[in-house]
This record gives sequence, structure tokens and C-alpha cells, in this order.
Amino acid sequence: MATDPRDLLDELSALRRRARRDRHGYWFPFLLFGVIVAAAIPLYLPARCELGCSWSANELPSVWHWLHPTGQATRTSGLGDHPSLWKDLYWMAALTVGFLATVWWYRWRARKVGVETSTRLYVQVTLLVLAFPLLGVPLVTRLVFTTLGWPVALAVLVVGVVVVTLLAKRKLRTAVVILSLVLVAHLVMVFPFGSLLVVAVGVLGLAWVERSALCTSFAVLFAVWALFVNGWSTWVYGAALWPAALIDLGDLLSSSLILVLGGVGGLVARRVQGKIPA
Amino acid sequence: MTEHPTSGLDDAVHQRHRLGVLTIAAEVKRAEFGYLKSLLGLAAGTLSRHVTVLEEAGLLAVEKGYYGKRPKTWVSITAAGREALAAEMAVLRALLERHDQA
Repeated sequence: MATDPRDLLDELSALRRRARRDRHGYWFPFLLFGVIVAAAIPLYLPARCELGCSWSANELPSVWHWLHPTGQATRTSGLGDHPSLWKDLYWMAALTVGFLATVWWYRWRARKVGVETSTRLYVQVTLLVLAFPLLGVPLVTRLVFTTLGWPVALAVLVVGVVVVTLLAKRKLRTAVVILSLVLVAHLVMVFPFGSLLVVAVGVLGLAWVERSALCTSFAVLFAVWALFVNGWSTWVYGAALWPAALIDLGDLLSSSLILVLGGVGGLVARRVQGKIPA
Repeated sequence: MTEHPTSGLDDAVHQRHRLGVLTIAAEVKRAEFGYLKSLLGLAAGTLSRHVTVLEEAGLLAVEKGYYGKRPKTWVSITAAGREALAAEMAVLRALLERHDQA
């Protein structure tokens, strides 16, 4: 190593870049979640109904009502929009497996390569986004909004956020993160493709810990696309000319494609950078 | 008269290989001994001595374990290590600036 300050700083920068490059492993979770999103497509195929596809919320199982205490956002077109517990069960199982596989992957890779990426933030955020819609939102909705009414509920929410924020070291960031996660957790069970928002939070968490421009670009692109797809499928496409099922297919396929491209991009970048000296 | 930047150099950190170890450790959660050895191009004994100095100064935490039957040593930077590294980098940049102005 060099002794001249300028050369020393250059060498240290090169070492930092090399260590960062070696610990990058986001290509696997991107590919995995791309496959998980694509594998959900069959669940969104239109049901074949002999006597028309009308349905009533009363015929849905109680577990569905527990998971969706405020119901699911009604699309402008009701066709092919039959709520299904299978979709919820698939997303819960697939996202949990995807989350556990990602953590396992980073630990396994650390032992193989020799550098470990911290997954603590990713674990905290993903656990919260996974658990909050399943337990937090139904409980809060029933206990607070139904029993106490919204004036008390709002006061409880504000006091809760203020207390947690005041106790935190980074106050503004904590408040923004808590409010964003509460919003995402609520939307997850309301939007037809709410589970894509969980994936979006997961890949944004990965981008934060990976500190890779390519990973961040694909994570942001996916998050924006997941928001667009949910807003679009909820409020807009009843007026469109395309059948709802075809648009569902396009929404999921395009979301999956962004993740797969991010994963392939990460793999290619890794190979290319591996040939360039740090 | 302002103090010369070199007065801010910390002997435990300033040695260039130790600076390399801290730089790598600051970028990751944990780094394995073998990885550091190969990236810094050092012999095991030399690296071990540097790691010991940094550990004794409270700048690095060392964790020993096994992967299968193979022993593995992991190092991670402490909060004091991060501060010391940031201070060292600031001193190096100040030195460069002073040199460029001269």
C-alpha cells in the first residue's frame, strides 16, 4: 500500500469499492421475488362461472374479513374481481418464504465470500410490513376505529407516533418511516395488488443496505410501478377497452419483469466489475 | 498558529494496513480473516498482529467461530473504530489540502 496521502486515499477508496462490490448479492432476491410475482398469475385468471360471476361479501370466509376489515378496494369494473382467500394465502406464504430465503442467502453468501452485508434493517422493515397487515391493521381497525370511533383513534395514533418519535435518536426519519409503513400496511390489504407493495418495501430495504446504484434504480422503478399498478387497477381500468383479466396479467408480468431484469442486471454487473480491477 | 494536521493522526489507526482493515470493516457488517488477508495481500501473521492492535485499541471486535469443521475469524468495526477512521480520513484530506495550497 502507498504512503503518500493522495495515493493512500485512492487506495482506500479502491478497497472500499472492492469490499462493497464483493458483498453485493441483491441479484438473487430480485430474481426470487420476480418468480414469486410471476407465479401468482394463475390466481388472477378469470373464474369460469356458469351462472355469471356475481358474488357477495357474505359468502367470503371469516378469515378474509379478518384480513380485510375495511373490505377490498372496489374496482370500477366488477368483472373478474372476485376476492379470494387463496390469493391472500399464496402471498403470505410466498412472501414469508422469499423473506426467509433472502436472509438465508445473505448469511450463506457471507460464509462463502468472506464479507457480510447487514440484513438487520431489511429484517426489521420486512417483518413489520409482513406482520402489520396480518395482525396490526385488523386489530387496530376493530379495537380503535370500531369500538372507540375515529376522534379517539386519531388522537391515539398521533400520540403513539409522537411518543415513538421523541424516544428515537433520528426523530424526523423515524416519524416518516413509521407513517409510511402504517400507510403501506393499510394499503396492502386494500389494494388488489397490495402484496407488490410489500415486495417494493423489501427491495427498497435491500437497496438501502446494498448501496448500489443499479439495485436502487430497479428498486425505485419497481416501487413506482407497484404504486401505479395498484392505483391503475383500482380506479382506472374499468373504463379501459381491455378485459380486466388481461390487464391483471400485464400488471403482474410487467412487475415480475422489472424484478427479473434487476436480478439479471445485478448478475451481469457483478461479472463485468469482477473483470475490472478495483 | 493553527495546529498541523499530522498532530491529529492516531498511531493505532494511521499504519496503512490497519487503515485498510478499518476501511474494509467499515463497509461491511463483518469481514472474514481470509478475505482481509487476500484483499490486503498480507501474510497471516502480519495481519493477525494488526488485528490484535486494533482490537486492543477498541476499534475492532473479533469473533471466532466454525464453518463446518473449519475455524473462521470474523472482524467487525466498533463505533470507536468508525469515529477513528473518519477522523483519520479527515486528517489525510486536510494534509492533502495543505499540500496543494503550498
